[in-house]
Amino acid sequence: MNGKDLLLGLGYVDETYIQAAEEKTLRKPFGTALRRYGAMAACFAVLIVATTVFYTRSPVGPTPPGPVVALPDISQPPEFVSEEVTVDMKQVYFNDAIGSQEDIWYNPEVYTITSLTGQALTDYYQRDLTPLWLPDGLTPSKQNGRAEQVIAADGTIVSDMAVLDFYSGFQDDNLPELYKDTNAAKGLSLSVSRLGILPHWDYVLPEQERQTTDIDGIAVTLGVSIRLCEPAGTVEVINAEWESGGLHFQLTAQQIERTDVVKTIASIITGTMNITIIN
Amino acid sequence: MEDNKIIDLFWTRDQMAIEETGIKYGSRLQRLATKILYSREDAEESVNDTYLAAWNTIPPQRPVHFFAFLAKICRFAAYGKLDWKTAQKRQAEVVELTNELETCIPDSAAQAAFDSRELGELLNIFLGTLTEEKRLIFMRRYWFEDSVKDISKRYGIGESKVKTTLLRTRTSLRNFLAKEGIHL
Repeated sequence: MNGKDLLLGLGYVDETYIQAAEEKTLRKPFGTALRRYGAMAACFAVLIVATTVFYTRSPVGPTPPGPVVALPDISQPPEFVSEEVTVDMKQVYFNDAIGSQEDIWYNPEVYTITSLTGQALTDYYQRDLTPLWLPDGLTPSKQNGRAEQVIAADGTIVSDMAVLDFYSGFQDDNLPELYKDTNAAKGLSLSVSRLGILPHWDYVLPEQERQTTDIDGIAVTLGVSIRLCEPAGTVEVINAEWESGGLHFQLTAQQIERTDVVKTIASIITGTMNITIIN
Repeated sequence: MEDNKIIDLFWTRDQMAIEETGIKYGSRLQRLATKILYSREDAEESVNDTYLAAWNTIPPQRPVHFFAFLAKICRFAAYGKLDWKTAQKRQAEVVELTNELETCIPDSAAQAAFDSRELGELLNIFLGTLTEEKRLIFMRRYWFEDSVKDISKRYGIGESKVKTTLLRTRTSLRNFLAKEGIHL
């Protein structure tokens, strides 16, 4: 007997179990619900990304925690400008990116995982995380407005990521809807952390050789990669990473115009929706 | 259209049955087959095979769980078309799932040959021993071949919890097979 036998043997299980797995939902546990990386999860092709670097998945067992970092002081909320901000696309540089690595997994037997919502979320991040400007046609996920905090036994916060998804639509199970022609979601996913522990992106060039883009005084590392999505072929994925207002941000956009991605980033950095993009 | 009405169409040999089935479940079946085959054409073929099999078996059958009935046929059809060697080369999800399930096999059973149907019966018993939460997560991963992220989103739970639940369930399955499998 081998794994294949078990996989095929599962084909014979009772239809009641199959139907239940398709229809039933779990009661929402207060505290651990968080979605991560909608765009990638929505695209089957995430499994066959053409990459020169091969990753192995995290073992499903205890893995080392991420680095423990002291929380930065963000007691003073960032002061946003109110005037118009202009970004020249000729000054925006997209590095060749490869893809994102697996999230760090925290063993719930070792760490306490809680969620922040509502006022606790705003208090923790000292600001509303929703971008002031978003490309037309994107809607927020019902699960936005929630962050997952991972706390070590000694009380140290080792992870504090909030994820906000904005896609063209969502299926009943809250996954982004897939475009019939491309089999890939259209939209963007924003991850925010005070600690700076966010999913790691790999680029073709080493860090010291990557170029950053100055958006209102903030150095933003932008990347572009191509994701294979059967049956259509490929879709463009733009990723961006930056730090501003004491928070670390990471944005992943799929099937979104580059100018719209940059405009979204600029609105997050400057806290205004009055952004002009010059091509 | 409600499942019962679609099944009635099958019973009256009305070809609208196929069309209505496609409208209601076509995309879900296509998704399931695509996850296994990584090929739109092969997946479409599997879905068409599913409709044909449904046409040939209803009547006399009258499925209680219509989607599960179709999905089961579709999964068999897709696996029937799967080239395991190609899947290996493409690092397809199915290979990863196979590797994960490999860890459930007790040493005592590794060399033995098992009939898939008998294994299915054993798995049925095992699934009956699980809590609903564990069963749903296990089924989404190994029956529907959802990624951990997709399961996390579907049920609104953390990926860590999904991984931990799967790990524990696989350990339970290994223990269960070690205990029960020798009787096969």
